[in-house]
Amino acid sequence: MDYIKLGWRNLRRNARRSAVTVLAIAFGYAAINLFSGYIHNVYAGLAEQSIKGERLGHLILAQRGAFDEGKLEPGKYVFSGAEFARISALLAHDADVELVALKLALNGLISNGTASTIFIGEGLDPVVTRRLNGSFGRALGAQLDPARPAAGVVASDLARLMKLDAGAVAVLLTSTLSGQTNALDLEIGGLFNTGNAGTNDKFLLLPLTYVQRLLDTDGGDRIIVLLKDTSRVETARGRIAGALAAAGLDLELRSWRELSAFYEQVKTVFDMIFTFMVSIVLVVVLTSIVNTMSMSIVERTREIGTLRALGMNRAQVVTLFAAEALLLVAAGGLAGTLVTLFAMWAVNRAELSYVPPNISYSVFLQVDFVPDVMVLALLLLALVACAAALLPASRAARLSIVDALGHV
Amino acid sequence: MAFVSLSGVDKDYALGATAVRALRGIDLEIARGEFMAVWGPSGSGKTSLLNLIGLLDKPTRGSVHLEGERVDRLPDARLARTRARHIGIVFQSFNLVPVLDACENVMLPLQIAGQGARAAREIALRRLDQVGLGEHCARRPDQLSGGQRQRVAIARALAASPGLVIADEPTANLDSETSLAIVELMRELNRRDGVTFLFSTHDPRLLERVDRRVHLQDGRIIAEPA
Repeated sequence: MDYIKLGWRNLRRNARRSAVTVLAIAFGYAAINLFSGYIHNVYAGLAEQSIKGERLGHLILAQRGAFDEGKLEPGKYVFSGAEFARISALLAHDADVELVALKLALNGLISNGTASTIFIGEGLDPVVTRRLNGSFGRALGAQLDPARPAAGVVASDLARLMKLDAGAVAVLLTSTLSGQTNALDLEIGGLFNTGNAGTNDKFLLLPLTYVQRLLDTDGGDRIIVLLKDTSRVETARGRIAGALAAAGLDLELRSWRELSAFYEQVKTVFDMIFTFMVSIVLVVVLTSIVNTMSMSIVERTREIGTLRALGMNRAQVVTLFAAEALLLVAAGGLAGTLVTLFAMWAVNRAELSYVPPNISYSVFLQVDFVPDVMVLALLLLALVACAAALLPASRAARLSIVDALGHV
Repeated sequence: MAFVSLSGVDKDYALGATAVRALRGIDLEIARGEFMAVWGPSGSGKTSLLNLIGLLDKPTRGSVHLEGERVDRLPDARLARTRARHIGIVFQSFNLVPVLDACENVMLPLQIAGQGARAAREIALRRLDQVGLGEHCARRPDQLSGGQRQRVAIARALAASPGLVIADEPTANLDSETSLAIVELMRELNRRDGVTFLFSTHDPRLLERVDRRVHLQDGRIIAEPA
């Protein structure tokens, strides 16, 4: 039995009604595709911002207890220079590892000679910072200069508040790891944007040796591991943890996602909006198909009676209408794909920009092509279409043949 | 053994709160190869009787046997299979599927029974030839006259080579000349292929052409002239 041919002809028989249903499916499907493409782009951008822009790296190593207790006793959880060299050598041969870097965080007061305010900062090797930042570094502003070991870069909002420009000198006041007060002059090497509205008014990026001198240590409190491929974080994590344990090192290892609360918050919100939107689209598609099928079945009750009289069983009647519903989804999916591709091209070409919440620079509104989600969404719509056809079709199939044939 | 037999068959319908007795105590046997008509006034139970014999409906009481097998208690799927294999039905209003052409309409019962499209098309073309419409294969029902549509319906009823063709007032929507031509066609198919034909009619001219008549009145068989 050629259900597809029969279904297709019946859909063409009511061309206008079928077209309206196909359009509802097409626009719903395109909406899912475009929104998923947009959030895919946002997630990728946020991941890049966290890993490279904020220099979290993919994996972060710390002494056991440092993540929870490190603020209370900073001296207790520091990696010495020798420890870092050992760990660095251990990870240097891992196929997934791009870079291993020592980082030392600090906070205190910054003074411009007339006023002071709080700052937070981190020390990193200037050459390593450039590699860690990748293309992000240049995009965000000034970078550390390996030739100027006493010069740091200041977050742009902090610089504006403290009237600090490149070339100026400020004083940083903080406590050493052993609790002694210490102060050092800092040359302002330039301004940069942290990318995060929450830190752009208080952040300093400093040479590691400068911070070590200020905190009176030769070590750091975190070891950053940058991988070659973000998608391999979990694989590399398991292997690196194994290698460290085998070397007798009892360390804590966290991924960038565990430490980037902002990424997780944004993802949770967007995922929720996406689920809500998909639910609405599914309800619209469900009601459109139920409506189309119900009308079609009422109009064709006599035809159903005839087919049953010719030997069609109930399951075959249901299959006939399920095939029609699937054809509607196929046509809607095709039209929706075309709408998606056109809208994606138009949006990406328009280069619209906006400043997202909690981000301190504007980004382009871009929509990614995400074939996985598109295929999944289409399968989901097909499933919903079958369910939508099932209800009225099984009701029609249960009708007595005599009643169906007598239907006018 | 009778091809079809009904014994002690009653059929009641609910009409609002009251029950209408459409058939009462029907005993009837139909032999293979018969060419017979059921006649009687409107409301006498002709359609109800044909529906029971065609396995489109089930009796309220009594039993229906087809080739010795009791069929009135079969589950839906088996009943559908039995209908597809043994019974062809011709409707008063032709009931062709409007989106299919003549050939595809004739192919329908074969494809429903699971036959492949190519084999079904060959049989359909042969059946259309038999009813004189070999040239009209690609025409949709709305491109055919009433008589031609009924010929397509007869070809469709014969497609799966059933033992019995049931036609409920097959000429009611046709002019008298076409009606006679349709009955002659059924008669010829009956004589040549041995297909059993059972149809209902009001038309005395058609009744003259059958071998056996069943007279129904108020749901009972009142005369069965030889």
